Order: sequence, then C-alpha cells, then structure tokens
Amino acid sequence: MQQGSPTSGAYQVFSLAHYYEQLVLLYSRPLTAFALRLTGHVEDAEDIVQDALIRAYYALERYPAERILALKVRPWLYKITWNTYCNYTGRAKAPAMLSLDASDEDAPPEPEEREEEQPDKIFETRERRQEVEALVATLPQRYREVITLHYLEELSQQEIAEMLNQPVGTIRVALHRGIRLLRKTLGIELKGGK
Amino acid sequence: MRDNTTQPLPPDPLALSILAQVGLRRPATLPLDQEEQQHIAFQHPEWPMRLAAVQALGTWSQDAPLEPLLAALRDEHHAVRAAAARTLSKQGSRVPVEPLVAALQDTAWQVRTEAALALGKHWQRAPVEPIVSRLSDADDAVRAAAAWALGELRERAPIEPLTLALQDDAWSVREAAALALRQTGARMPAAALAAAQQDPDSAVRQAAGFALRAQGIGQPAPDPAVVPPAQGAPPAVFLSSPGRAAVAIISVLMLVPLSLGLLLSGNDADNTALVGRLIALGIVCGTIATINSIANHHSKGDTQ
Repeated sequence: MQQGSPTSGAYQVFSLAHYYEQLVLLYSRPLTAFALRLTGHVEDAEDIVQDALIRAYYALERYPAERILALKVRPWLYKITWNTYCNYTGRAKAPAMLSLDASDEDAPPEPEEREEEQPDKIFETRERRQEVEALVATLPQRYREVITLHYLEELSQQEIAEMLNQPVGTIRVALHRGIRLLRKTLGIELKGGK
Repeated sequence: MRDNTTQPLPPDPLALSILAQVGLRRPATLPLDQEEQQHIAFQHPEWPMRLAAVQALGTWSQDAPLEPLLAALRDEHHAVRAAAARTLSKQGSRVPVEPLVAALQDTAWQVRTEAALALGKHWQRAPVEPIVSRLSDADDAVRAAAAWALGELRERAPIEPLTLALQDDAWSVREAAALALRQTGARMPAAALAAAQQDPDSAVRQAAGFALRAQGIGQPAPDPAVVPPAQGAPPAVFLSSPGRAAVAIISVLMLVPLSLGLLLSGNDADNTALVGRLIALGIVCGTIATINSIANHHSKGDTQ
C-alpha cells in the first residue's frame, strides 16, 4: 500500500479493501434509510451517506490494525453519518436537549406504561412500525432524533449519548418524553380513526 | 457486525459509486493496453472515464507513467484529482512531493485528504509545515489525515501541534492526534495523552490508551500479530512460585543421602540384595518425582 511507511502493515495490504467493500455493501442502504429519516429528502440522504462512507474509508486507511480490530463498526458508522449530516445541514452536533430536572432523569416508568403501551411494543409489528415511523417524523427534532436512533436504528442509549455528546441520562429522558408524546399522538390518531 | 446484516444485499448504485470513488471499483471499463487509448481516456469529456483511466494506472505496481497522473491532479472533477493523489501515493520515491503539497490547498476536501494521506506515505520526503497548516483545515477529515501524516514523520513529527489537536472539536481529529503521538516515541506528551484518556469520546480515550501503552505506561499494548496464549497454557516463567522452588530443593536434599545410603550399604557380592537396593532407589526416585509433579500441578493452578 505504501513505500516503507513506518505503520504500513500486512493487515492493511491484504484486507482493508475487502473489509471496506463488505462494509459499504452491508451498510449503505440502512445508513441511507437513517439519513432519509433525518432529512426527509432522498438526494440529501444519498449525498450524506456517500460522504460519510468515504470519510469512513479515509479513517480506516489511517487506523492501525489494533484500532480496526477494536472497532464497533455499526455505531462508528452511525456516528460518522451523524457528524456528516450535521455538517451537511449546518445543525449543531449536539441537539438542544430539554433542560432536565434530576427527578425526571431517574424517573421509573409511569403507571400508564402498561405492557401493551411500552415503547418496544409500539414498534413491534411491521404495519404498526411503518405507521409509527410516520408519526416519529412529526415529533419535534430533539425527540425525533433520539427516538429514531434508539428504536428505529437500534443503537443503545450509551451509543446515542456518545454520538450526540450528551449524558446518558439526558438521552434516557428525551426517549421517555418522546415516547410519551408519541403515545399521546398515537392515542389521538386511534381515537380519531374510530 | 450484526448477525441480522450478514446476508449481503445486491449492490445498489450508491454503494458502487462510493466504492468507485475510493478506487475499489472501476466506474467504467477501459481497454488501456495501448498508449493512444490511455491518452484518449485521460482526455475524455466524461469524468467517470477519466477517473477509470487514473484508477487503471493505479493497478500498475510502481511503474505507472507519472505525467498523466500529475496532469490528473489538476482535473476539473474532484474525484479524478483525488484518485490521482491516491495513485501517486503508491508510485514510490520517483513521485515529486511538490504537486501533492500543492494539492493540500485544493478546493475539495477529498483531494486535500488524499494529498495529506499521500504525503504521509511519502513520509521520508514530506515537508512538515504544509501538513501542520492542514491541522486547521475547515474539514475534519483533512485535519485527521494531516494529524496521521505528521505521525508518520516519526522523529520529525511536531509534538506541539499534535498535542493541540488533542483539543480539536472533532472526535476523529482528537483520535487521529492521539494515534499520531503514539509514533513519536520518547517525545510523546504523556500528560496530554493521560488527559485525553478522560475525553468524552470512547474512540479518543482508546487511542490515548494505545499511545500510552506503547510507551509502557498503563497495561501492555495488545499486539494483534501475536496470538494470545490459550486459557490454561503453562506459565512462561519457570520456578515462579516459591513453593515450587522449595519442593525442588527438598527433593535434591532427600535424593542424595537416600541414594548414597542405598548404594553404599550391604554386600555387593549378594546379587539379590543389590537388586533389592536398586529397586528401593527406583521407588525413592519415583516418589520424589510424584511429589514434584503434584506440587507443580498446584502451582499452575495458582498462577491461572
């Protein structure tokens, strides 16, 4: 790969191209779906993902083998895509979260969060998921992003916290409030549909 | 990677376009066997054809003609310029570094990134200052590539700019700076890297840890080239346990007088008695060997 560079390694020479190709083939579609949820425009989403995956390649090219071996690819790609989205749209990387009070941060699930109303159940079936995805798009941005990352992209609260550079507690509260809002909206829609 | 994504989907055009831009797929097929056809391809009005021409030269190991590649560094399309910088990075010491230094000022971030990476690969001849100036580039990928390239300079790597880069707004730049500082050996700013281990981003913390461990600070750095010993493998250090040493000394002290006593006593003319003494000596040796074996087994258990 390079002429006698101090860190040139057999690992990079023999496997980086294949590794990256697999990564692009596996993740270009899910990342585009993610970017589409964020932007709402197919062309913007594709531009963001193209940019993000090229940045990922440059990073992999620089990384020593031990970093590549330690890499958690999926959250890493989402983090790069998120940063690219923020740069692309000019928005702040860390969303303007709610001002939190400590009692809310540690709050247990509210009594009305019965099993059939819990977030995982809301997103469970395919039909319902599509319906809920459409509703998520109507949420205020600060909730929409964390709900999307957690329930639709299936990133952990810790991974989202790192991606958005926010404490985990803040993410937990935003999820909690977002789901509450979503449930309320869903309830209104269901009542309206009857 | 997650289990539920291990079945690759048919490649979509976006994926193929991305792979083409980093030189892993040709955007177009070109018969480039003849010099004339190469010339035509480099002058082609469609940029994917020009990109394909550059990438075709990239498949030549280290003897691609430099002139068209240097001209491609000034192509109107950024993908062609970036591919030219990439191909030039693979063409050995005959590549002049000045055009790559000039490409650090390109309008496209991809070209500036590729130029910085190429200069890192031409580390023996790369100038320091132009790369340092890219640490303040508007694009974080360029800043990260510049940090990496500076690390490649090793003994010429400037510590202060890289240390400052540990405070960059972008986690990818802070991570690249920490990894670059790992290359600086004894000049490494241990305090700054120790502070970077408290970075809010896990990738930066990990990179700082790699750097510090490379200098023997913290736990030993994992070497992926070396297969770690399997669980239950014997410890490398012989007689590491005081108990094992004591058993060995006692064994020697017991064996010598017992052996002497058995061999020197009695009448040598009596063959039956001689055989009996030899059997007794064997039993003594066997007993001592068994005691040692048991002691070793327990000692291994302690070290695991």
